[in-house]
Amino acid sequence: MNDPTRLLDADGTEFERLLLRAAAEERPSSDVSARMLAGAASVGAAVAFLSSARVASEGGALSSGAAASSVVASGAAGSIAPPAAAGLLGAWVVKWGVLGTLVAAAGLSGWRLLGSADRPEVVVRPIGTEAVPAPAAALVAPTPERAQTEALAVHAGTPAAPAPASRVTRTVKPALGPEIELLDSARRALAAGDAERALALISSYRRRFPAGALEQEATVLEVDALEAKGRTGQASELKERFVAEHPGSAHVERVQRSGSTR
Amino acid sequence: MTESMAAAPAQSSTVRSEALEARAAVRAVTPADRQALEELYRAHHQVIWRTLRRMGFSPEAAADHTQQAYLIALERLDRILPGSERAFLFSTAIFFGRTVLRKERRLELSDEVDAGSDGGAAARGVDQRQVALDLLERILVGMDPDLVTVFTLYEIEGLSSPEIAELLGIPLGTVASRLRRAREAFRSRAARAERGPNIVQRTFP
Repeated sequence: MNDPTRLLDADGTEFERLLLRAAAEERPSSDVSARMLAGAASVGAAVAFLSSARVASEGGALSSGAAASSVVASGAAGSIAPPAAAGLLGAWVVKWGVLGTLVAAAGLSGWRLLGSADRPEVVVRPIGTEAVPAPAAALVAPTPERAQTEALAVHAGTPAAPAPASRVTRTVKPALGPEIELLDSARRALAAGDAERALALISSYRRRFPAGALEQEATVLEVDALEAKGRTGQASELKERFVAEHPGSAHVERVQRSGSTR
Repeated sequence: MTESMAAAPAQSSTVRSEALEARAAVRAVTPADRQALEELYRAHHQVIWRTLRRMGFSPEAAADHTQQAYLIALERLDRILPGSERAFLFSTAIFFGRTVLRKERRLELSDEVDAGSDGGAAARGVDQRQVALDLLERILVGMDPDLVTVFTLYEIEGLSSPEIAELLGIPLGTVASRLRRAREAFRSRAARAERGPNIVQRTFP
């Protein structure tokens, strides 16, 4: 099968390419990067918790929680824009400037120019330990250069950093596809309002993959589907069991919230 | 941004810390796990973050869901086959994104646009690229999320159809048909958006 030419490459109009290019070039701002890094670093921190080592990054130490918000983001967003964007979108904004007002009012700050984005300086405090300096770099703050490399590497389907042979670089046929497919069908059935079919698909998932890697996701869906069917008693039971069996799961909070926002 | 968008990412650090402690307690994380996770983070976090952004999440919410996908991956590293990590991360992040979006609907396009303001003043103080991103969000937010995911991975992230089929666990033919529909929807909405903001309407419930 031949893939169509990408809109960004040639097929799109100037306006379409402007929008898509902005998206392709979007990078997390320094504070968002810090937030994500802090979260991912707290994974490292959980590791460090066991090894009593400190997780340090190239750009500084990392930290979970409050550190992310304490990072001072600098760099004036919007001081430079690509000429084409300035032209076409500038005209668009002048004509339909209300959007600009909204953007400013909403305080959207997701975009920062690559060159002006500060690297996050964050300190990681591994859970339950005092920070002890360690030489090894852990999760590394993305630099613009690295971000570019990443983008290219991902396009090529290879890992970005010049990493040594690792599990990432091995090419083993993934076995996750059928699992995802089945759960995705269940999710779509539920989204389309067919909770009964969603439940049937989840049962079928459990039969086919008794030790599936997405078992927890299946349960999250099942809770939603039961609630959609009005079987709230069963949903509550399932929730309680899930929380008891997986106290550390990242899904716990969502499962507990489930149903309350419908 | 609506309040629900702002609220979506707010996952308390206390909850997260407790989850981590519990996780550390139940499963020993090996140095190999840690290395694998670091490599996965370096290689994929930005693409995952951008994919979530295109689904309509704020930068912060996208960051939270990205890190959550990594947390879950850490938990399951021993069960994920080597070579499937990227698919696992994407499917988890997208799964999360969709389940949250289903409950906390995204911003309503037409409600946000008031055609009476002073355009010139706005243009002077606005980041042009932010305008482009915001416009794109308005276009994508009204499309079927299944289409948006395929569209984003293909048109913005430059993945091939077979790669997308593998990442999302869907047949190649489904990728092709979603991509075709996504392009049609995007192009028609972009054409309307170019003519004016009020024309971008939500078409997906």
